[in-house]
Amino acid sequence: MTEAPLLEVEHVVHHYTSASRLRPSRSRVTVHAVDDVSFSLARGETLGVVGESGCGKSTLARCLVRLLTPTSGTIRCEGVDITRMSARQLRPLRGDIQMVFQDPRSSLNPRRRIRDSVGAAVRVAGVEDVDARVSELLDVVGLDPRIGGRFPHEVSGGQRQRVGVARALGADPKLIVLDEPVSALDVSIQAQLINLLDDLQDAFGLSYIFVAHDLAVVRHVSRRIAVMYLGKLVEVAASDDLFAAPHHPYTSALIGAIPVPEARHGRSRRRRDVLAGEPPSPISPPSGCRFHPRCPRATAVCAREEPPLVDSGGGHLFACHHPLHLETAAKEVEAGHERV
Amino acid sequence: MSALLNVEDLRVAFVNEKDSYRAVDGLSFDVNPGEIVAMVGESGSGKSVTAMTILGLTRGPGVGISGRILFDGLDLVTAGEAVLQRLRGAEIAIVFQDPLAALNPVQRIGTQIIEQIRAHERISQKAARARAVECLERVGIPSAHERLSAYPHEFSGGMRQRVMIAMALSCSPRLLIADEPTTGLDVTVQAQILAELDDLRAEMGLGVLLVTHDLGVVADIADRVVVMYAGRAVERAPLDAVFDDPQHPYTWGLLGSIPRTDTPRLERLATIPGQPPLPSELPKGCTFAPRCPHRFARCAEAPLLESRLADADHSDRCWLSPEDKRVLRNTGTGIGLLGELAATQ
Repeated sequence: MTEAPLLEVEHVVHHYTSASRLRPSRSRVTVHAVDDVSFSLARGETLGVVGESGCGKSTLARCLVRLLTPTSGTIRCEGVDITRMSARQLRPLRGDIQMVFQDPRSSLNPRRRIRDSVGAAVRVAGVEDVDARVSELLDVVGLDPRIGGRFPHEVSGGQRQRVGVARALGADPKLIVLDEPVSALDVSIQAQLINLLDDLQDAFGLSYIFVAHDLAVVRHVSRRIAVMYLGKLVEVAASDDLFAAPHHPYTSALIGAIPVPEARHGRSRRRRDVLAGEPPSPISPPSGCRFHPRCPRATAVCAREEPPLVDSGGGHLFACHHPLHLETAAKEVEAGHERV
Repeated sequence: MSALLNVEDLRVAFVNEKDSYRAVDGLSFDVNPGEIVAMVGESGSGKSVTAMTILGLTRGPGVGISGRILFDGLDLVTAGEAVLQRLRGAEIAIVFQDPLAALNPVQRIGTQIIEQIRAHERISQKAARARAVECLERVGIPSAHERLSAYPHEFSGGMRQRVMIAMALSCSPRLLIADEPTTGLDVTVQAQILAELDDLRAEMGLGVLLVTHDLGVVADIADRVVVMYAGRAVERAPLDAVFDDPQHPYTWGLLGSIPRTDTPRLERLATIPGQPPLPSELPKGCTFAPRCPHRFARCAEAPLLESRLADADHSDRCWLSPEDKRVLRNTGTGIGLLGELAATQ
C-alpha cells in the first residue's frame, strides 16, 4: 500500500462534560465517550465499527464528520487536518465526508419534499441542473424519481433510508459514515439496502465507515472491523481473521452471543458462555483494562494496567493482557510435542 | 393433551368509513404448557395485533374480531371485559418490546409490581412486597430489595426488561406473551434475557408465545414456529423443519436475507424483491405471489394452510410441490429466494 490513506484518525478523544444545574457546587461529570482511538481508512475500503450501546461508536462517527469537535487527537482527510476547523473552513470539504443516520424519519426534514432534501445536497456539490441530478440520484438508489414530490412520512422506512443514501451521494462524497443505517429496517428490506450500498461502493469507489451493533451485518459489509468497548478500541482486524481467531475475550463473547438461524437438532437451548453483566458507566470506567470486571480471563494485572493496542502480526490489533490466540497457539505447540 | 392456548381461524379487521383492513386473516395455532411458540414476520404482518387480540386489547368500535381464542377452554373472543380483566396480568401476562413505554415513569417499580399483585390477589402490602422482591431476584436483578424504590429511568435497558419480566411473573401466569422482548437490546444482554425466559418456561411450565422478527432468536429458544405474512400464517412447523426443510418461498426469503456469521461471507445477500403489501391493498390469491419469483398460474387462487408433507405438523400455504421446492430454494450456499420476478401476469 503506497497510496496515502483517505482518512487518518490519531488518538481521538471525546469527553462530554456536564455540570449539574441543580447543584452547581458539585464537580462536573465527565463522560469518557471516546478515549484514544486511532485507525486509518484506505480509499474504497469499508471499516466496520461494532460495540454495545454506550461504547462510543456513534460519538466517534459524529467526530469523524465533525458534527462534534474531538476533545483531543487528530482527524485527517486526504492529509488535511479537519480536527479543529471552523464551520466556514469546513464548508468546502463537507461534501467529501457524508453521513447516513439510523433514523431517516428524524434526519430528513418532515416539511420538505424529498426532492428538496436531496436537492440541497446536490447544490452543495455545485451541480447546475439540480432537478435532473436529483432524479438521477433517486434512480441510482432504486427509487422511482416521482417519489421526489412526496414528503418523508409518505414513504416506507426502507424507502426513507434510500432517500438518506441518495442525499449523502448528492454531495459527491469520498467517504460515507453510516451510523446504524439498517438497524431500524425489517430483515428483507435490510438485505436490499446492504446490497445497494455494496453496488454504490463499486460504482463510485466510495469508502464506508459502517457503525452498527449487529456483528453479522458488519461482517457482511466490512473488510476490516474495529471492536469498541467503553470508548476504547479493543480489537481491529480483517473481518475473516476477527471471526476465525478473535484475540480479545470481549470480541469472542460478542461473536458467541449472536443467535444463529439454524436448526437446533436436539441441542440445548442454552448458549454456552453468556457474558454476565452489562457495560459499566463511562462516567467512571474501571481501572486498567475496562473489560476486566466482566472478563472470564481477568487477573490482578488487568485491574492495574491498561493493555496497549498491539499488533499480533498482519495488522491484527488487540488490547488484552491474556489474549485468546496465544493460548490456542500454546495448545497447538503442546499438541505438536505430544505427537512427537 | 389439550393446548393451553388454542387460536382458531382468528380474523381481526380494522374498519373505517371507507374500507376494511384485514390485519389478521384466518390464523390458527396453539401453545402447550412448557412450550415456546415463535411467531415470526416483518412489520405489518399481524403478529403484534394477534398478541394484543389474545389479551382483548384490540377491542373497540371499528374493529371486527371473529374466530376463537381458547385459553384453557375459555373463549377470549366472546369473554366479557370483567373476565379478561381477571385473566390479564394473572393468568396471561405480557412483556412488551419497549419497557420504558410500558412502565410508569413517575412510579417506583416496587409500587408498580405490588399494585399488579394486589389487583389480582387479596394479600397484604407486606406479603406483596416480599413477592415483588422474590420476582426481581428470580430474574437476576442484584440487591432487589433496594431496587424496589428505584424509578424506571434508573435502570439500564436490559435491567428494565428484567423488571418487565419480573412483573409479568408476579402472579404466576400460565401463558406469557413476549412481544419482541429482546429487540433493541445488545446481543450479550439479549442472550441473558433469552436464557432467563427459558429457565422460567422450564421451571414454571409456562407456555410462551414469542413474537419476534429475528430468526436467530427463534432458533435459540423456540419449539415451534408460525411464519406470518400479510396477516396470514404462511408456514407453521416444528423448529428444526423451518430451518432444514422450509416450504414457503417467503420463509426462504427471510432465511436468505440474514447475514450469517457461521458460514463463509457471501458476495451478496439473497433478498426478497419488492415490499410487503399494504393491508388496504392485499393481492387476491396468494398474498406473496407479487413478490415471488416462483409464482405460476395457480397462485391466483389462495392456497390453504395445510400439510403437504409426510409430517402432519408442518403446514404451509404454497402450491409448489415439495420436490420442486427442494430444488428452487437451493441457492448453492444455503436457502434463499432466487430468480428474477417474471413480468406481471
